[in-house]
Amino acid sequence: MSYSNEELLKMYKQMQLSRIFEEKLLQLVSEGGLPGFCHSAMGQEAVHAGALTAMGENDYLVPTHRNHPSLVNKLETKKYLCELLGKYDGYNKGKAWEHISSKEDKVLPASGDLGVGVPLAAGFAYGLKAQKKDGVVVAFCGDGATSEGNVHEGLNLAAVFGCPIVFLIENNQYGISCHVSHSTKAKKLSDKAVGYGMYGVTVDGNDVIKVREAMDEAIAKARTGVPSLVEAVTYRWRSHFEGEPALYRDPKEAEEAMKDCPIKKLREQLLKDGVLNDQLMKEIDAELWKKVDDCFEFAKKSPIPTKEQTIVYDEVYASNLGGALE
Amino acid sequence: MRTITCAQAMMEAMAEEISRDEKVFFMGEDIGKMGGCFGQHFGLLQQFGPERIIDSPICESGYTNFANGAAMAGMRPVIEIQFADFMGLAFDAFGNQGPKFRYMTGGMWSVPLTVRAPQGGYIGAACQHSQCAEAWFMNLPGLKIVVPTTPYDSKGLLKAAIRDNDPVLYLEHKALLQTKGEVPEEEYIIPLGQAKVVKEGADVTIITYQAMLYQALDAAIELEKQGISVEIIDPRTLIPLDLDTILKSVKKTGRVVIAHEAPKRGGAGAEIGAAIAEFAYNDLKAPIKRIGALNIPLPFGAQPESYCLPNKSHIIEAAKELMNK
Repeated sequence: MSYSNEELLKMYKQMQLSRIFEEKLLQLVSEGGLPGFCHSAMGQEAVHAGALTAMGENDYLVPTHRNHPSLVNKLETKKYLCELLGKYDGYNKGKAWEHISSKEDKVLPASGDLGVGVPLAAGFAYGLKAQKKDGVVVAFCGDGATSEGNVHEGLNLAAVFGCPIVFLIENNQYGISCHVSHSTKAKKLSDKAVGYGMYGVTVDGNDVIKVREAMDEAIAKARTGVPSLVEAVTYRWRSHFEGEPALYRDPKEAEEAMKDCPIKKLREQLLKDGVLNDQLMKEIDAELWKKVDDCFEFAKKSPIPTKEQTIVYDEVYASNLGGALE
Repeated sequence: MRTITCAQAMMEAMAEEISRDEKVFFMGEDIGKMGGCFGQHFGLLQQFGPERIIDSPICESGYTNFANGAAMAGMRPVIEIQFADFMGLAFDAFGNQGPKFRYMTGGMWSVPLTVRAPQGGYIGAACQHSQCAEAWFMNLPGLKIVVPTTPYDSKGLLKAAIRDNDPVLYLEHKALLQTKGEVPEEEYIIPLGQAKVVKEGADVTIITYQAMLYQALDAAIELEKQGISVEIIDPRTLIPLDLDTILKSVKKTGRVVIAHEAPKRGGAGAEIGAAIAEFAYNDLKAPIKRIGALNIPLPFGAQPESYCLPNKSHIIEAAKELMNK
């Protein structure tokens, strides 16, 4: 399938924005400016851009904790960063951190427990279908989480109940320290789809066009109530979280894998095809850097929540009978 | 007034709520074609069809998370965990996911989910089909816990749970399903968080619910023959807990027995007793007495089980001790 120059540049910009955002974020982490953990998705940008650009305006995203490339694009970057930094101007008033969500932007919270997002997303998709609402769900899941019972149960439920959903397994080859070859004896993670009577496909997750094509096809199926499973094979460039020394893998393996950069791959193709040129590249970078710099500036000034903004009864219980908070 | 069973009362609540609100659906293992493990849901599928009454594959964690998702999408799911003992399989989904989403998102999402789970012993079904699960969940903020006893309460509280916008654990008691009681024909709702004074009395307050409440009523008859006047309070919901009604009674009697069927150690009675000690210490004329099952996995069969579960004689003994009799 061929995509318009506009679409191709959109994918490129999404990937590049994430890369720049993460470079700046990693700088902040190294200076000790980020509370909690930072799970970098550097090198995995094509999986996210391929999925995001395939989604329509009524479609919902269920991210994982390693969500920078999706959410920096799907959400307003400065409010997203505020949430990552635990600031009150974040989408969830600084309470969610990486588990960020936005109802308005159709982003569900990423669970802190691996694999839970799969049955949750299936149920959400079922809810859309039951209410005859437009829209499908794209649920991310890492390779590590596929060993979880919840993933099995969620995939099965989605198939049994014909949920409008695409499960996107972002195989970055590591679940913290556990290599995918130690997670499963399946040759491809998409082979697991067979067990659910579901369509499954594996694509090169460093080739945004390949991801996009697979997602276009899977989303079209989902719109008819047929769920499917797409595995995008990529590589986790950084350690599980920043500061963790990744002693479990050979640095040479990472070095080799990083040669297959998804952004470089698309850039070279676009330069060759004349969609991109040096001048345009510089303009895009300047625009994205300005956006990222501005958002870091904004987030720096945003306050952390006060005690009053933290202990809020109405945010624990939706109806006023939950018992005392203390 | 007409008399119906707890099972019939809950069936009516389900039918009324499913008819009233098209977003309500009921999902669980064997609830449709089979009509529930005890036949207590039989007829719902025939009345409402497979889109509203959904037989789930066997996967407690999966369909509880599924229901969390459906609730976030705007539905009002009611799910059943066939035996409350299996709540362990859904513990993360119900304890660590559903009740956290609202707070974690700064109030953006809510999860209007009701989980029904038949609990309790006195049916001789051994240790993995007989437990009371209420205390397992009391330490988790963001959810509510209902422990209905009578047919009247079963119906009114179930309707309130389904209309509530937060995750609610509704733990009906298996051994009480066929217990009869008065239930009016007209519609009513019992708000969560209101304890009931089941019986008024002057000397000893017995705080109890479900199977032990009936034991307490029997105990009260014998105690009153011996000149001890008993007040019985049914909290009806443990989160929220109606401490006002409890403390008012303690102020009157100054003596407290808390009786539940779950093991005594770490049971709901520990929380209630601690709250009384914290807020009504000066009203107490004697130490608080707690009654619960032994800290032992329940044995199989009615007779061995009876050695481990509490009964009315424990209540009588405790009340007499408090009265120095």
